[in-house]
Amino acid sequence: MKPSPDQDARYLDAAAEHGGALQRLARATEANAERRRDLLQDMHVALWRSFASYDARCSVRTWVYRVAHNVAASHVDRERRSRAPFVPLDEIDQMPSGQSISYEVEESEAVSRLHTIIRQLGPPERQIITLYLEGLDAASIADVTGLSAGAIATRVSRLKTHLAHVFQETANV
Amino acid sequence: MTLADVHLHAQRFQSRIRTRNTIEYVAAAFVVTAFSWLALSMPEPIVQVGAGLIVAGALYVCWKLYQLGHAATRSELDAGAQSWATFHHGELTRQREALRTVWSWYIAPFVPGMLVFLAGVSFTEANPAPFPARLGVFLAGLGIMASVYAVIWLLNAVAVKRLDAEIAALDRARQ
Repeated sequence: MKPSPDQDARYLDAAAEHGGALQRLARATEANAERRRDLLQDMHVALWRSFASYDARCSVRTWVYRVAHNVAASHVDRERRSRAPFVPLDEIDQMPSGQSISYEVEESEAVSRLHTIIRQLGPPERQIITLYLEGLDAASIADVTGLSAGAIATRVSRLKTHLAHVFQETANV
Repeated sequence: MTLADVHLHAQRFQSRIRTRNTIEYVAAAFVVTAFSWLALSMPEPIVQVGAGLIVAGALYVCWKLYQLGHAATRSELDAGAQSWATFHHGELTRQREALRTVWSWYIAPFVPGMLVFLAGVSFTEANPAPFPARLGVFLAGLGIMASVYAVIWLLNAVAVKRLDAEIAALDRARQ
């Protein structure tokens, strides 16, 4: 595939604006550092390749999230046989809490635990919560995932309640 | 990642696909060459016909593998134009169809050639063994073939069932 200047320019703009979101998605998808790096590379390569056929039917942000989430879904599909199975939302156990020594460490632990919980979720909950945490509203999440805005609002509400419950219980330990 | 890194990894991605295709074509070329040589060198016409049918089966499987690989690559390139649900549904359905129809495009093409070849080798007049012994060789070969195919069918049936459940769950989520 021969790169075009448009393709390169679109990719560079998108990577500059959404590169952080791709990193967070990779972290919420893959626990192993080496495989996470490979996943992030795959996301960037898929994004660059996809811009050869970008037709502006949707916003660049929606396009980027679609490519990244589709790459992540394919990655999970490939890795699933050697990983723990998905856990239904209602059955996720409280994650063990480490002993905190500072606010930064606590915050880092919280983010780490959040990613661990998200990685245990099956589709489409994982896609919805990662997009929600990126600040997308229900309509934008619907554009990326293809699910109805109503179904997304319901799931976001359930996921928020569940996550708040898990973190509250951990804080009380 | 820099743009140069992305270009490099994209080239490596294409190289991986080319290497995978090359391995499949080399394997097919080996089968085609070996059985073509048998077809030309064996004196028994029935063995020649069997070897020829195996060559035809190998070429057909090669063509189907190319088609499936091409569809997978095309699907990946369309990833940005499709929502996650549409893309994921398409991927699951594509995998399911490949597994569900494995009998028709991966196993069946070899069956006529294998049967004719096995019969030719077992019952050739050049074989001095008594008929019951030759029949035993034929049936043993048939049994091994059937066992291998049964295991392939069983593994694929289990995988299809799992994919059916995933597709059904995705359909429910889209409603």
